[in-house]
Parts: sequence; C-alpha cells; structure tokens
Amino acid sequence: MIRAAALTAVLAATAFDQTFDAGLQAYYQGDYPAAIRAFEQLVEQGVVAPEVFYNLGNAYYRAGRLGPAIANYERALHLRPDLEDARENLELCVNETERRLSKPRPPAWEQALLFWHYRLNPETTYRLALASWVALWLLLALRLIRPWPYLRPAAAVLALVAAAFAASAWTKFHPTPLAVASAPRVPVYHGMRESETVHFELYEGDRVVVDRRDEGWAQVRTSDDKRGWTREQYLTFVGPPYGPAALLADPPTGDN
Amino acid sequence: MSIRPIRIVRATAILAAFAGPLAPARYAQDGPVPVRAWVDQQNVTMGSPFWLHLEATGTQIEMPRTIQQNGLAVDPINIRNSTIVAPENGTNLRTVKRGYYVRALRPGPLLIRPIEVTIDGRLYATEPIPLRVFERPAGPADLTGGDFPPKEDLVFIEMEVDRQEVYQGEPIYLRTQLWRIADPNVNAGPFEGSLIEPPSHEGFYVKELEPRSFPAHRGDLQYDVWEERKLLYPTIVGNARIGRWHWEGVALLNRKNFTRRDRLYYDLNAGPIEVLVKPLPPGPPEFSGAVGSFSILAALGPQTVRHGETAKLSVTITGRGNADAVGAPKLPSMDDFQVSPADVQFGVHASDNPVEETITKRFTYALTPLREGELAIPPIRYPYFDPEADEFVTLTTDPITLVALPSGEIGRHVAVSNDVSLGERRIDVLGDDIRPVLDAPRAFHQQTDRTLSTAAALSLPMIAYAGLALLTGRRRGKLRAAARGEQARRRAAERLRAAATAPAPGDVVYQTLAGYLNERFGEAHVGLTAVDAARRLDQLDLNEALCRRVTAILDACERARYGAALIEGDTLASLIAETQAVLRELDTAWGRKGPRP
Repeated sequence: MIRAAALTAVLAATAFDQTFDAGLQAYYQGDYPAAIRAFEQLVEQGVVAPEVFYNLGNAYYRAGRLGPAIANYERALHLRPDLEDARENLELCVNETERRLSKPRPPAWEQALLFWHYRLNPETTYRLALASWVALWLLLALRLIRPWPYLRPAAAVLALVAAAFAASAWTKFHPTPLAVASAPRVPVYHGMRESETVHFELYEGDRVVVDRRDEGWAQVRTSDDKRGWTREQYLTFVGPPYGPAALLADPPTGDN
Repeated sequence: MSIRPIRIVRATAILAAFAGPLAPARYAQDGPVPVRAWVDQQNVTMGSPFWLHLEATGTQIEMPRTIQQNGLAVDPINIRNSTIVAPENGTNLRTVKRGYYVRALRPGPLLIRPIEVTIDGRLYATEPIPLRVFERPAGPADLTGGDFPPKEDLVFIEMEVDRQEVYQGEPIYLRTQLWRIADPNVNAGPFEGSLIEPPSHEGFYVKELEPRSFPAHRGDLQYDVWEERKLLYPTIVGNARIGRWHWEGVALLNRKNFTRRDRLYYDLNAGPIEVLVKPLPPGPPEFSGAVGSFSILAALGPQTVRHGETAKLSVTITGRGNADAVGAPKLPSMDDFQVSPADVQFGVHASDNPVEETITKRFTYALTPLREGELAIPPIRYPYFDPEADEFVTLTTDPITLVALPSGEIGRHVAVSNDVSLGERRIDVLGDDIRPVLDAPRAFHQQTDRTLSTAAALSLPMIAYAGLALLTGRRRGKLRAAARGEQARRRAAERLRAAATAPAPGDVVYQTLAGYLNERFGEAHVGLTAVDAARRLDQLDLNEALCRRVTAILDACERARYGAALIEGDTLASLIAETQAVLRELDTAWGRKGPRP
C-alpha cells in the first residue's frame, strides 16, 4: 500500500517538480553545473518561485559564479522579502565581492511614498490592490442602494488604500531594472563602443541600475552614481523578466 | 635666390585653401562639414611635441586611431579622448574630440594632410593644416636666465632598486622617479608616451604597482616627485640587467615679468642596473615557488557535517615575500573526500615598501565526504625558501578530523521545507558558509500572463457598479414618475370639484388641465398655452384624437378667459365632464411611468 501511495505520488509529480528534484540531487552530490542547468531550465520554462532562484543562487555560488549568485538571491528576495536565508547568503556574497558596492537605491519618491511596502511580496501587494479595488466598488454600490452618510468618507479612504496598493504592486512588478556584473572585471565605457575610453570598471557581483538597453549595450549606473555603457553579455539582469545568467566570458581589458 | 620659410608656409596655406574645394568627390560635400582639425601651435620646433586636435559631431563617428604622415611622429599612447552627448531631435548627438601628441621630424614647411573621419556612414575630411617647423636651437649655458635654478636642477630623473643580489623568485623593488622643481612657474612633462622609454627587464616577472607622486627635498630645493614602481621577480639565474630609463620632455618656464615663456628640452637617462640572481637550492617536492618568510594556518568549518554536505577547508599562508608566486599548497591524498579546486582570496597589509608588505593568501577547498564516520585530513606541508637563512623551511599544519554523520536519503534530510521551524533549520548552517538549499513544497507552475485577468478584475467591479447604478436610476425614475402622476391626478380632481362653483370656472378648468400636464411633464407650473400643449403632446407617443381633445379644452378655456365668454350651465358641465374623461384617458395612456416620447 505504501508502495502504491509512493507510486501515485511520483506519478502525480509534475515535470517541474522532477526537474527541481534533479537540481537538488545534483547539488547535494556536488555536481553544481548540473544543478544550475536544472534550476535554469525551470526558470526558462517560466517557473517563477523564490525557492528556485534561491537554490540557483546557491548552485552558482558553489560553482564560483558570484555575479549570477547575487542576481538570483536578489530575485528570490524580490519575490519573498522575508526569505532570511536568501538575505544572509546575499550578504555573504556581497562581502566576497571586490568592492562590496552597495545596491543602488530605488528612486526617492518611491522610498518616500512606499516605505511601508518593502517587506511585502509582489503577490501580496497585487492581491491587496485587487481586493481593495473590489471593496471600493462594493462600497460605492452599497451607497447606491443605501445612501448612508458615512459611506462617502469610507469610500474615499478605500480609494486611497486601493491607490496605494496599486502603486505598490506596479513598482513590485516593474522594479528599477537591476543587473549584476558577472565577469571578473567588466569595463564600462563612456559610449556604446569598445573604442571609447573606459570610464570605470565593475567587478563581479557589483549591482547596477540599468537605465537603457540598446543593441547589445546597457547604460548602467552604480550606487555611487557613476554612469556608462557596457556590453550586456557581461551582466546578469535581475528582472523581471527572468533571463539566464551571463555567459562566462573574458571581457576586453579596456585598453584602447 | 632662396625662399624664406614664412613665404613657403603662406604658399602652402594658399594651396591648401584651393585644395579644399578641389577635394576628391568621395568626401561628402553637402551642408556644413561636421569635422575639423587644428593644432595648438603652427610654429613648432623639430622634435618638440605639440597637440593635434580632431573634432567631429554626429551619432556614429569613426576616427582614425593614429595618423600616418611623413615628417610627423604620432605618439600611439598619448591620445586624449572626450565625448559630449547632447539630445537633439530624438537622437543623441555626440561631439567626439581626440587629441594626438605629435612631433615634427624635419625642419621646413609641413602640411598636415586632410584627416578622414566617417560620420553616420559618410566620409568627411578635415582641411589641411600648414605648419612651420624650426630646427632646435643650441641654447646658451644658462637656459633658465637666472630666474630659476640651473636646468639640471629643475628636472632630473633617478632609478633605483632595493637590492642587487637576490635569489631566484625573490622580489626586487624598482623605482623610477621624475623630479620636478616645485614651482608654479615651471611645468614639466609628460609622464607617459613615446618620449619615455621605461627600463627593459628581460628575465624578470614584473608586477606593476600604482604610480604615486609626493613632495621631496633635495638640498635647498623642493620637488614634486612622480614615481613609477614595479616589483621584479627574477626568473633566470646569473647576471640580469634592468635596462636604461630614458625620459625626454619639456619644461615650460613662465618668466617672472610675464614677458615670455621659455621651453627647456630634456633628454635624460638613468641606469642601467646590474643584478646578480642566485639559484635556489633543490627544494622539497611540495615547493610551489614561495620565497620569503611565511606562516601557515588550516581551519575547517564546520567540523561535523552530514554525509553529502560540504565543509570548507581553508589554508592561509601569511608572510612577506613574492606574493604573486605563492602557490596553492599541494594537498595530501584524501581518498575520503571529493575536493573542489581552490578558491583563492588575497589580502595585503600595506607598507610603504611593497617588499615589506605582509600578504595573506587564503586557499579554500570545499570537501564533500564520500563516506560516513570520522575522516582524517592529513597534515598539509608547505615549503618555502627563506633567503635570509639561505635554506628551505617547511611549514606543517596539524591533522584535522571531520565527522560525517549518516544521512539515510541524500538530500531529503538535509533539505529544509518551508514547514520546518527556524530552530531546526539552524542545524544545517555551515559556519560562515551559505545557508543550505531549500526543498520547496512541490507546487511549481508556469507563470501565466496576467494582463487579461487583471484587466477583468479591474473593469468588472466598475461594470457591475454601472449596471447597478442604471438599474437603481431607472427604478428611482419610475418611482418619481408614478409619484408625479398620483399627485397630478389628486390635484386635478380637487380643482375640478371646485370648478363648478368657481366665479371663473373656465380659468379653473384651464389650470386643472394645464397643471396636470405640467406636473406629468415634471415642469414648473407656469402658463402652458393650448399651442404649447399641442406641441408637447405631438412629441409624445399619444393618440392623436386625444391630443386634439386636450387642445380643444384648453382653447375653449382660453377663449372664455381672454374673449370674456361665459361658460356656465350645460356647457360648463360638459366641459368638466370632458376634462374628467380626458384626464382619465391620459392616466390610462401614461400609466405610472409618465409621458414617453
């Protein structure tokens, strides 16, 4: 009977679960490239789960790829800000980077208006926004049938709440585009050509805001407000959308 | 008759002016030319450097990396680049400026040919630039003219090493210094470029250090010193040579009376330096190239893991010596573990002399036990050569034991599910290692596009509200119409009852019917004439005969009112009866909903 139950459970497992299991097994056996392949496959297939990104971060870390590890911990924390394991691993990874460059902060208006939402995950804010929106219209409908005097201020308050959660959900689903340098040294140029002067260099694991992307180039900005252009291929974009990690390639030295 | 150089230059300029319009047709010629070139001086001394500037404006600009021309030497290193980006008509217009450090190689007139630049796929050329090149004059003994110290004290160079007899692999600290007098009226340079030949160092592995500048005194004079530093690790044995350092540059002197600015040309050399490199004696097999004085420390974290998990073994080498050649220790055979390649971390405790710096190199290995039980990590040996003691020294770590606990099903037990409490999770924390992977609840699904569902969720409440508002509005309208009808009927009945005894019964009948109509229409009770009533009733979905009967009653009442005709007796009774009949029929026709167009 136990065997039959186990067989039923195995048969019921989805292909995604099997891939996740395969990734875990590879990780436990120290085959980190295989674990990375399995977890990346899930991401490629559209699975968006903090556990997948977190484990992918661990696998990249074990494989010595600090940049993609940091990018995946950032993804996990974006989806679940209360995932303390991811926070600690991210901190450990950042401490191992060359400069320990801090993460670029969100725009000032967002910090001022949405200071309360940084511990909420996107799904929660999305659901709260929808719930408050529906509640607002229910209240307005009630007011059509029973025009009690206190329904008007209540509707106004509910409208504000719905707007706040909508703004929160919008910023959660359209966050400031973040990328992580994924090669040991990534030259950042003044312009969109490698013949341009190298403005500064990023080290693996440095997190930057992506202001613009154009023809394989990304205009990046560091937390200390240095700006320049670099090749997209040396960056892992945190997303959403969630793409694969940057290929490990040796960037040019930056000597003109 | 000889031609004076100035005339030749003028002739060249005139030719150049004519040559411009006759430029080959392959250059784009419509509109203003978005590229130009100029020099910072047109009268130059042979061999003395000057700047040739090139500027172009466009979105895609390709400038030559260097310029090839007879009679000119262009420094391939000293190139200045600057870019200004300005948004214009939705595109980013870039102005790129490039400066070439140039020397003229022969005296006489010289014409810098047009320089080709590709801008946005079109080829442009600059105007030719005429130059006048003079031979370098033989200067007087005191070139400084008494305002400054002698020329040899204004600028000089030095090159030195910290030792000239070393063992193979032992670092040598090489410093090349440019001493420039600290006087705001003296400006000497450059610090890099083809005019400077750094010392050659065949037979050495070279580590470049950050150049630095600092103030210094020599005699009574104060100098600014520009120092370039290198660590040289001898790779050969025997006599090695650090080559000559050549510096060629200019010192610009601003005279104190501001009357003129003089240039002093320098052609300075330092070195070479001979170094004796002694061979290392035969070393132990674990020797990885470290020469200096070191210590070793091995640490394992954690010392207890489950079978299948990894522990980190870190071996730290600390000391002074050839930091770049300190290699990873050769680990003894460890059959009980799967050992990952070393992860190297390098730290330096800075010192003014880099040879004296204390370096720390940490080699970290991930050890995965291949079986359960108490597994021994044997002592790790790390030999190095101590040049002060002239012998090899072998460092040895203490043996370490790793306890590998059993794990029934690999992965399952070490994994942490979301349901497990935080306290249980802590079991798996690996010292300063990362937290373990998560074994998530099995409910993964593909993320779907939520645009439609979100749009539906946002719009449905609004649509429902609109529907409800429509329904309640109509219901309220119906109620209002019914109330108006009821009120109109009641008032009309009251008025008609009073009409029979009223002094002006025609007026009362008129007001009864007009008032009824006004109330049913929901309008103010003001003079509704027969004509108005006929027009309003025509717009409604009403029996035509009934309309005529209404207007006939109103006409009759108006005639009585304005024509002084009396309505009494049977006429009055029949008028009242007709009015009552008309009101009944209007009620029947309009019902509770009221008049409808």
